[in-house]
Amino acid sequence: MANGENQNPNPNPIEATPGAAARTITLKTADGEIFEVEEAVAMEFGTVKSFFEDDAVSATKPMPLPNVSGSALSRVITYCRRSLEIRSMIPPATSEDATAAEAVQGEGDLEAEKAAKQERKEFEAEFLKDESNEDVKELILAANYLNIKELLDFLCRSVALRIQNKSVEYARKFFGIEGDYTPEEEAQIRQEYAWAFEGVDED
Amino acid sequence: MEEESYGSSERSSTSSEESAPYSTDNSSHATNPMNSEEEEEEEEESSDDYPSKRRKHGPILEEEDRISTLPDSILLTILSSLCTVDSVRTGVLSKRWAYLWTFVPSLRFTDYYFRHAAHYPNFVDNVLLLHRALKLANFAVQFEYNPELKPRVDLWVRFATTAKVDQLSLHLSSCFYKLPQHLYANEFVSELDFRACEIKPNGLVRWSSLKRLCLWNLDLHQDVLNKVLLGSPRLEFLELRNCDKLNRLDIVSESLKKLVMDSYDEDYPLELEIFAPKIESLEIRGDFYGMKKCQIKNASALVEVRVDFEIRMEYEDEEQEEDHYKNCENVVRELFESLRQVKKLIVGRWCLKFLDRIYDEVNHWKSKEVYFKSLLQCLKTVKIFGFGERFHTKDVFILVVEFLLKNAKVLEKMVITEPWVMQNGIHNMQLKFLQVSQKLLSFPRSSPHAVVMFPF
Repeated sequence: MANGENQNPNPNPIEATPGAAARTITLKTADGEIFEVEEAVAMEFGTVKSFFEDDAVSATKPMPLPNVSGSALSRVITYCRRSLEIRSMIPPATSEDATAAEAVQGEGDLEAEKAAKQERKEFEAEFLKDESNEDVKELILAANYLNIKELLDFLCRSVALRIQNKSVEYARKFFGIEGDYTPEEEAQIRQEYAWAFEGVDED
Repeated sequence: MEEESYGSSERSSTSSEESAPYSTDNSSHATNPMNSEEEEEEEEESSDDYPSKRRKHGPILEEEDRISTLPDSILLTILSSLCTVDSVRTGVLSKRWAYLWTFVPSLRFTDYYFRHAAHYPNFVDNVLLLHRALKLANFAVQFEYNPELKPRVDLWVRFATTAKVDQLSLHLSSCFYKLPQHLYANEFVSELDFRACEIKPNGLVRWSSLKRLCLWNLDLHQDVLNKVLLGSPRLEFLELRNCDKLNRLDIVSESLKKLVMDSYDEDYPLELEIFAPKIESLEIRGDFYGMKKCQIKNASALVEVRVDFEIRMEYEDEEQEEDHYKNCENVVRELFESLRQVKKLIVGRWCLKFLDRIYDEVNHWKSKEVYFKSLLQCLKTVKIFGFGERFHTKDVFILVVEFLLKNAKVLEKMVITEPWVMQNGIHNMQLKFLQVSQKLLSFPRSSPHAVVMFPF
């Protein structure tokens, strides 16, 4: 699996010493782009995480991502970075017992959580604003391959928003599904589901 | 997240097969028997719709093939966010999709799109017949109920509870649906949302996992509320909207963290007393037709309060009007007195107006300190809004701001906003506002850290 050749010499080899500033991980996409990603961000990718947990030695070579394009990975990295930032807005959970000092902390948590929620909402609204359906699909495939649960959930919700209340034809085009029913089968399934279409307004 | 490579046999240059390090989640939906048969068909999909621009990027597969490689769990996640009408219809998309929707753990029914009311219950029945998921995360029903449908709705509720539903929502309108008795003893449900339902448990209520409860437009008697609170030891959030038949509402709960009380419309005046030692956040909003008292007892954990309500009353003569105003003053004053350690306070215009009415003249603002001393010791955040487009010209507004700035000793942030002006700002109004804000900023502040913000 390891890609033997480096297209560019890796300018930032992984530091062996712990505590070194900004450890990065190198990723290589299917179309040959190289990405240097902060370790914290790269560890958001389930696949990358397990890859390095399994085999720490290969940390020096760029990890290949054969199913992900450069443009998709770039968007994914943007998302994960921002997501990490937002998550760090919330201080780590304190215990439930309320002494005077901790009560102040608790109140800060409430505020911080609210602020973080709001930030996330705004960020997510902007993130996909100009993305075409094609782009969104590309992102889902990337997020699935990279195993990033949060991003995947978000993308699925967004897809649902894009196809809801639309006709079946729209959904078919969106997912790129070629109907595989024969005309007889199609008629049959349509009849079986007739109750789902009657009496309900379609877009 | 599982990755099931359906089309793996036809891939030439990619390396998905060697992918050892994928963590596998046990997705209960993966056991969909139709998948293995369907792969063959999917591979034949033509690429006519997708121009060759994709191929420029190297060995990435054709679009459709890759979409079909998505595991069912992802498609189900997408379907879960759809309203059930939409998700059922995906059954006609292709063979793979024919019964995929039946595994969605979320059912949401709304009568919004149904032209004829009669179709709606039939639709729901049919869906429940076909549905296969073993566990439901959400079950939501919203429609115009009539009592003839009770037996059917009972079955729907039974369906949901059998599937150990987490969130159950019944939003009915006009007629009251009497909740079936078995619903009152449920150990799985964590969120309940009832609108226009009749809540009348014969025995005890046992909602051991309940965390959130919203009650709208229904009659709520104190003894029923007691049963509910007693039987919900994990309840953290309670919202009561337009709940009638209360004249006195004692909310006694050890676990409750947030309470929202929204509107009240009943003939006899409401006396609201809230006992909630753990309550952190309180919100009182809406129109209250008749409120005699609103107090929070033992609010030591209270951190955030939002009071944005209005007490309304119909009065016929001046005397009644005067009585009404006196009453309002009392209520507001007592309420604020009981907010001891609040750090974040959001006050709507009406309440603020009454705070001022308590003290007619500028001088008397000083005496407010007596009443609000402890509040002012702790107050950190203040948000003022809703004064209307000429708010900056109103004396009371300026007085309030001056008073707070002067006396709130640990004030960190004061936000003054009037959304209407901000959005539709006419130029000279904005100019006036700027002038006023300059003045406000010049007021002396006892808290060195106080920041006054006028977000546009």
